[in-house]
Amino acid sequence: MALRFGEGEVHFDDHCVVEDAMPLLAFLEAEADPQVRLAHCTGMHTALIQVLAAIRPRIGSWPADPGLARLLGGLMGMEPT
Amino acid sequence: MTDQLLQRFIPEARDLIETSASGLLRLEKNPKDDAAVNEVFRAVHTLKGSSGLFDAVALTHLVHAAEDLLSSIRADELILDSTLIDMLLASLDQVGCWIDHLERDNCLPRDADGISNTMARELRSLAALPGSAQPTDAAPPLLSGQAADLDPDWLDGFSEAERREAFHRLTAGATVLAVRYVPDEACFYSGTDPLGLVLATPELLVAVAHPVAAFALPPDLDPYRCNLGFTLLTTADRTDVEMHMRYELERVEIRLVAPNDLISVAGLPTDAPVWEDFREEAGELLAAGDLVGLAARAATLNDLMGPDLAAVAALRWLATLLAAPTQDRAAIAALIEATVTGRFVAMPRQIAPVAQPSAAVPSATIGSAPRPHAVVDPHARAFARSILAAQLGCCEGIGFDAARLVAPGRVVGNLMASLGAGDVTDAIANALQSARDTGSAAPFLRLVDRLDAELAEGCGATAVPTSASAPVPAEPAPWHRDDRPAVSNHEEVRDDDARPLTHMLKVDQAKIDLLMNLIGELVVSKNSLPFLAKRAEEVHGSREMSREIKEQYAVINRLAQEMQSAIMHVRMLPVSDIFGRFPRLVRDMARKLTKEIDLVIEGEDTAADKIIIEALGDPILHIVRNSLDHGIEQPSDRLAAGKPATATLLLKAYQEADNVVIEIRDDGRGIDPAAIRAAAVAKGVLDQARADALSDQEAINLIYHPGFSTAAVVSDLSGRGVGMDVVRTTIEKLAGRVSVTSRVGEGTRTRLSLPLTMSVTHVMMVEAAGSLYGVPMDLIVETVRVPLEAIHTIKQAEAFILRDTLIPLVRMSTLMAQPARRRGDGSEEAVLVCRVDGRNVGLVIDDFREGMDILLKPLEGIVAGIKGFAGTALLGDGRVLLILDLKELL
Repeated sequence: MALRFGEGEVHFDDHCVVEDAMPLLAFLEAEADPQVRLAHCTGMHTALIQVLAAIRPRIGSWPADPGLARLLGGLMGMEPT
Repeated sequence: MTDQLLQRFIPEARDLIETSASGLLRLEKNPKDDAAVNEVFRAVHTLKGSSGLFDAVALTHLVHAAEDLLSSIRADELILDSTLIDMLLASLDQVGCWIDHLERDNCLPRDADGISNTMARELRSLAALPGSAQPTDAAPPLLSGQAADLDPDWLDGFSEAERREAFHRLTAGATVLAVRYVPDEACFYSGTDPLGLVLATPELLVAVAHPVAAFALPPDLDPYRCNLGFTLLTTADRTDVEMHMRYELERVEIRLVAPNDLISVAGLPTDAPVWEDFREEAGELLAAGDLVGLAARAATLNDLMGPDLAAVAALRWLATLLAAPTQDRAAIAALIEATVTGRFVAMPRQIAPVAQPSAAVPSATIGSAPRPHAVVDPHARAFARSILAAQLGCCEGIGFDAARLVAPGRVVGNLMASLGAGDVTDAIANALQSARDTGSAAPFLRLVDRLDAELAEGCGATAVPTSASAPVPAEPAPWHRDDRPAVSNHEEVRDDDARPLTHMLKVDQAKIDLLMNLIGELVVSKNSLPFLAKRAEEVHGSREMSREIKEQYAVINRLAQEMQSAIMHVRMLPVSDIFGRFPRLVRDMARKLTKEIDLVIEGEDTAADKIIIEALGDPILHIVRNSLDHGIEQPSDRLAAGKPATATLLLKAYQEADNVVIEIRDDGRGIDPAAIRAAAVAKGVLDQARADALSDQEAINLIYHPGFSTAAVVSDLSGRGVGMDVVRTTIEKLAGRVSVTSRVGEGTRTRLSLPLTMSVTHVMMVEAAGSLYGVPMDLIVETVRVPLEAIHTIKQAEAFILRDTLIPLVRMSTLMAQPARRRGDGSEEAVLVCRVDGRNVGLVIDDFREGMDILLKPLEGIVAGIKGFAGTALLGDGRVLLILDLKELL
């Protein structure tokens, strides 16, 4: 899978697929203040962005793809940096 | 493979379209014609089914919609009216167009998905079918060139900077489309990734997403249920977007974005007096046409005020509009107003001259101010003038003809109306009236000239005196309006390059038969030429003449043979046409019966007449089913019997002489003659004594008896006999033969032998027992003259040795029960070595004669039962030649 779970944070690497949605949701629920790092994310399945939009975790780093960053930012009510 | 299928599909599809269209036309005359409804439905249904094999989603989609509609008509849920028929015919035309395209390019045109979706939607809405209940279906047709108003909330998610970027693109001449896509909740399960699809949109400017409903909290949150909708802006062509989203078009709405749609003024309110002052000042500058001054004034104010104010947002937009290549004064005025009110109230929507992407008119006139009386757009003006010029040309060309002036009058009226240039109908009517009164076209021509001059000045019809009082439309109508790009595109297709020539020709079979008969007669007639040559030599003593006739004969003979083989090929089909369906059938049945069967097909290239091939399908199916069902044992039984678990079923076709032979062989349990005898007696077909007297083979042959084709007997007989008399009847109708050989425990072999009907047979004439007979050339291995002393008598049978092989001899005179009349000096016998049933046999005849082509006519009527003869043929000199059937004879 393209998700790497670390201490209180999850890294998205390359393209994250629909199968990653459940582990991601489980992780975000289990952690008190999870942080999501998307710097290396080149794309993600709709299911994942949906989980992020629903849980609204802190975004540690934004995807390099401006289109994806913009869409995610809009969805989470944040300004991508 | 696909290519071949496609090549077959294309003519078939055209036929189906034609059938449907003619059926629809009949229905229009008589909507109660159930037969016609069914016919159309079947044709459309077949078309849908076959089209599914190809990469033509759009085509299948559209045909499917048509089928749904027809199905409700068929169920009397819907009354067929002419609107429906029009729609259906239009769909069929569109499909026809696509078929042409498929033939040419092996794919559908790029805009097919959009067209298909629109047309399907229209069909569905006409039918008010359940499918139309989907929310997106209620949307106006995607392709309607009359751009539906863009709901302001579509663009809500986009920031001012993004809107401004889109605005710049628009004013720079691009088309900006807004696409709203609400995927199906369950779409993840079908492998759709809406986000990926959206982000991969061609020439995407920006995309936003929004939850369709509020997200549930974690325990109830289902990440696999799509709860997002997307809105995006793109500068791509509509066709590209449709192509990109072709599998989701049902859930996609596409709108053209006009410049004013993008302007939005949002921010903090303010009531500082400075804005009132600005409005006044700016209004004056605008009225004076000092746009530069206005821009400078706005820029100054912009620098002074905080960026979060709504009024400042209006100022920024004002700057953007003023910097655009052309200025939309109405929008500028509205923005000036917005600095005070904090709200931008757009003017009535303009139809941007970019309404149709493919038209790609440079949008130099974006946001032309709504000045109702003036035709501002230079393109529209130029276009309108060219129409007027054409009308003038027509009128001048034809001189005065009151009736013919009416049409140009109407054109000019419509043109001016569509330009929003006021109602000139009265003026035209007056002009036409005075033209009629004066008997000259001059008044009308003058009017057109004047309209043209006004257009040239950029001024509309307001100056036309008669129309000064005419009501002026509140909103200019679009001059460039493309109601149905679907249709226009397809007309383009038709016009561009004429429909490609089809290489297929459908001909009534009767015509081919007639041609074949005529060629057959020709072949026979040419046979009289050698006789003529002989007469020329023998009766008239002209050797020279005889030679020339023979030369001519050779030429005619060659041509006739070529013609004959050509006509035969017209009707020939390979057996693979029928064999092709068996692998699947055998596989499915084997799985159902839990048997292991290996199907071997041989000789699928063997060709035979179309009628034979078509008629063979069902008999073979019967036999194969029987074999699978009853002949072949379960794997365990087979192993117990010492056979491999996997049974082999052989389907073999080959040509033998002028017959095509199909052999179906299995290695199953075979037919038990004892069981058949018992069953025959039980069935009352035979009495016990006669049954006992039958040989095993004769007993097996009983399965052809009609009485055996019943289920009860079948089960006793391990099934053999199901429909066997049907098989026999079918084959015999085609003058063929069926034979079954079987060994208990080893398997069964069924052999179907069918003549290549009406084929011209090549025979060798022989003299035997004082008469002429024909022997099919294919059976003859060689002709030899055997010295009498070389003939050995082994017990009663005679034989001779030919190249170290013992060939049994059969005397024709004995077979015919006629005395032999040997030619020659009596020291040798003429022997025709033939191959019959795989064995060589020598036929002792009186003498050899020439070979010839004959049209074999089967024995009919009272002589039909005579054994040993395949048929008769007419000789060139009028005699009848009997053709021997050696297999039966020997």
